Amino acid sequence: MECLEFRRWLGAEPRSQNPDFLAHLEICPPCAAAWRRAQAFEKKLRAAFFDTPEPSRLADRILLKQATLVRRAHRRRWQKGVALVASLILIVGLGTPLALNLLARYGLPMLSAEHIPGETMSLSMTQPLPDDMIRMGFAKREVQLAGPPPSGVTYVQDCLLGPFKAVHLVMRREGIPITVFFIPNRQGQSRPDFIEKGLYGMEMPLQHGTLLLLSAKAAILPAVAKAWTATLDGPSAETATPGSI
Amino acid sequence: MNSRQFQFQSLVQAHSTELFRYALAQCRQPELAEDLVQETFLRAWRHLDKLRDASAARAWLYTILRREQARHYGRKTPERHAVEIDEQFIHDDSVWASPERQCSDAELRAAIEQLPEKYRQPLLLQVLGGFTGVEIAKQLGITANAVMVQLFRARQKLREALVESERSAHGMP
Repeated sequence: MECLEFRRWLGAEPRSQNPDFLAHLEICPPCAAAWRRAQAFEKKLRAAFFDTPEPSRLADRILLKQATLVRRAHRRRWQKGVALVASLILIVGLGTPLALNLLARYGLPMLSAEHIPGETMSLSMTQPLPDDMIRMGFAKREVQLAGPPPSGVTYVQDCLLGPFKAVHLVMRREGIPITVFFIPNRQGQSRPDFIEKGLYGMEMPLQHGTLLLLSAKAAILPAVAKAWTATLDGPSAETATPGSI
Repeated sequence: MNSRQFQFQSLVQAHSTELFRYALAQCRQPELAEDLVQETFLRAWRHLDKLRDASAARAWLYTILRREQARHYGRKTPERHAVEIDEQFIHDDSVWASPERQCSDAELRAAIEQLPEKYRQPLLLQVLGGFTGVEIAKQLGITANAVMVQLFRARQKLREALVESERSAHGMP
């Protein structure tokens, strides 16, 4: 390193530990003198700032502030957790009945049609059941029949139709099986002629639940609906049945 | 105390004072300097996971502090002062010509305060932070050569300011 380069370096980084810088310092007395003056100035420069009064307990105040923030963050997380749980409770408490009502209102045809393949043997039964057995089937769902059940019922079972407790029956008209569901305490929609999975269907809200009928032949359903309306709501309610498909 | 908290506490205890000095040298307002240092550490706490190399902690904290200062003064990022490499360095050692003159600490601080930021910042990082030219270059995002020029000129201007101050004090033209 030459003197000029040394002086440049000295002006920029007087405390440099660069080997070339230090080597030149050893062999050049004028530069060494300049280096000593520079060190004196650097010492003074540092002292000017290191003598500034330190703020009292700055570190403590920073740590206190940080601890406060951490506590607040924990509290916020806890509050968020509580809010989340409360929301879930609200959703479950209010949302579930709402969802069930929506499902009952819009999804019963689909649920009923999808239920049938699980109990296909019910469609092949031809032996009519006694009225007592039919009444007992309804009684399991705490439903009291208002009148005698229609004739030709060959199957009765308490089933779950999706989330809904239902009475599942099969009866025959003109040799054709008709699947009947009664969902107590659920008010579906009045749908006199839906088609679901290739089956013709009817949905009728009655006084204490919803009646669903499904069959391969649409024309036989209105009479069956009328009969079940009389059975479930009483003979006086027959006139309220919807018209034919 | 968990390890994260312990690490943070160690950083605060080790570096809060020097960061305060640096901040104070930059802004000359003790309350503001304290606030900036506090914000620096709180930001460091939030991003402590990013600090993988403990030996880089000081430079990291200085970088955060510089950003806090920039934010305070309404800039999105700290200013970068590109300096053209000037081959016309002063050949003599006029910077150190009369260090024995009795300027006070207050005079020195005032002279540094008068320096343009592009000279003051690297000088303070060097004098107070103890960073090398290369380290300062990394922090400021400029070349090491540019930093060396800035440091040289910073001292040169400081010297000029002190000489001027001395002349004024003695009523010299």
